[in-house]
Amino acid sequence: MAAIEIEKLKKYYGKSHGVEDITLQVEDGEVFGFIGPNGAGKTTTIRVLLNLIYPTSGQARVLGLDAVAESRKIRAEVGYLPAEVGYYDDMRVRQLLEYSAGFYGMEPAETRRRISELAGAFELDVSRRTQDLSTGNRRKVGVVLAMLHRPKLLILDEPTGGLDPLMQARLFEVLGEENARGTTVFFSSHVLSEVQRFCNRVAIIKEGRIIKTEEVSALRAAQFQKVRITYASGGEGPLSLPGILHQESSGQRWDLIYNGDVNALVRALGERKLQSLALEEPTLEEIFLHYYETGREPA
Amino acid sequence: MNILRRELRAGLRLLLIWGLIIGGYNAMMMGIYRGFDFSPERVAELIALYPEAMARAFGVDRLNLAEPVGFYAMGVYLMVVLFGGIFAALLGSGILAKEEEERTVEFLLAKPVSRVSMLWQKAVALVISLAALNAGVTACTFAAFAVFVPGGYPVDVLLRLAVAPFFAHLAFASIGFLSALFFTKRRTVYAVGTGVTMGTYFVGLMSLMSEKLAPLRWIAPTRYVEAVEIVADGSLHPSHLAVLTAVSVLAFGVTFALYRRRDITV
Repeated sequence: MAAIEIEKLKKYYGKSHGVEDITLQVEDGEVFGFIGPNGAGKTTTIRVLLNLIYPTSGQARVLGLDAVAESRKIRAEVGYLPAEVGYYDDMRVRQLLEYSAGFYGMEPAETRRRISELAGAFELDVSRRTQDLSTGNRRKVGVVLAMLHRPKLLILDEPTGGLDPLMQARLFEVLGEENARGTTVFFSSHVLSEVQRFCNRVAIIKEGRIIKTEEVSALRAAQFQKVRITYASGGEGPLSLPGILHQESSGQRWDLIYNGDVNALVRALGERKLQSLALEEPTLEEIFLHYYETGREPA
Repeated sequence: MNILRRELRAGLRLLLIWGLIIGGYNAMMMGIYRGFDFSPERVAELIALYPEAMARAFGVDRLNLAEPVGFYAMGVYLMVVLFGGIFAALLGSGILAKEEEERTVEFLLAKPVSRVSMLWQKAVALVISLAALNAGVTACTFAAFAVFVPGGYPVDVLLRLAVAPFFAHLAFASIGFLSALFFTKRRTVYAVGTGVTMGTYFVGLMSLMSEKLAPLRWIAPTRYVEAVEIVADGSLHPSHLAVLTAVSVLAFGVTFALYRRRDITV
């Protein structure tokens, strides 16, 4: 049984972004990444899965159940982390977690055990008032809320947003443990590298459409670099190297999107006189712009 | 029942504050009544202060100010209806609007609870809160009568005056509940709720003073629980209460119907 099946999903509403045509399937036990730039339709798709919004056409099934007709049953088995979370100001974190647990019929003793286990893993002080929490801590509370009742499926909308790198690593560690226990993980992201590291498969969404679904092993081979070179003097021509997806210059400065052996790049640059060199991870938008949209296959 | 319990607990403090203020006001006014000079000449003087249209609107001509229940009906009862109405409107509109404004609705609807069940629990919490408010105010009123009206009074009339406001409150709460679907900012929806309460009241009052506005009389929920009629006619006017109940049921029903298909996009 597939954990999530979305078929020809279309959603238009208001002024906000909708989705145009989404078809994807997440297998049971997978860690599935759902990546795309902001506004591509990730949150819209996820909200349909939880029946927070109704599809304009098409359909979605979650854990074999219809996302509209059987939503309550679905939500009993799903842990959800919204992109932006709101909590009740008058509650402390522990009260909020206990309130949530009550909906799943968890035993008080089990709830307490699970809270201390997860709060420990994420270094979360559950005696704090929710309104006093920092952005990162609010996020952690959201993550703990999603995992509290040991759901079969975790749906996480941009789970790493607002978490520091240490906590991001911890999050994926814990997600890995849950996954090893059989939990399916479906999460959205606009950062390619975290998807590359933690997913089995990934769907890439842009402007409301899935433009590619692929095994992450294929993506892992890709090593996208954004390269910014400033030459010591003007007049240097473009680099000619396999893996350069795009390059453009302004004066002595060249900006490249490179997907290839970094050693080859360094060797090629060694023959030239540089003033500075910067390498960074390109944004998904940049990768899309110069990679998927031009139709090139991964190196 | 999680949501019901939570709403009752979260609303308790506000309920106590409003209950104490309204109940305290009632007790205070009856204390003032006790110390008042109600000789027939003085009453006539007081009544003469009202222009004729206002005297009619406030029922001065049909109530006996010198009697404790008449005094209560004229000087105190209206505040119970109006303040309670404002409380009801705030509570009714806030109970839904707060979830969207604070983005907690996404938390709530991710739980295994249907939307209809969520609305039911909130609606029941509303009804219980309003019933509790009215019960508390009634207790204060009867206590004040016991202390300040040693000569006795018609208990059945006062009891009718204690029951009636609840129905107006329910109508205001349900209208607030419904309006929260269209105004999701609490500030706006609160303004709408209190606006409806006070606005319809004044329209109702004007309609009694001017013949031209008479047809508008039935717009105001407060007119269906008019003290003058309850005291002078000696009846709660079941048809009036039925209208208020029908308005409430309708407003709740429409809210349920629309909310079921609502896109939650906070």
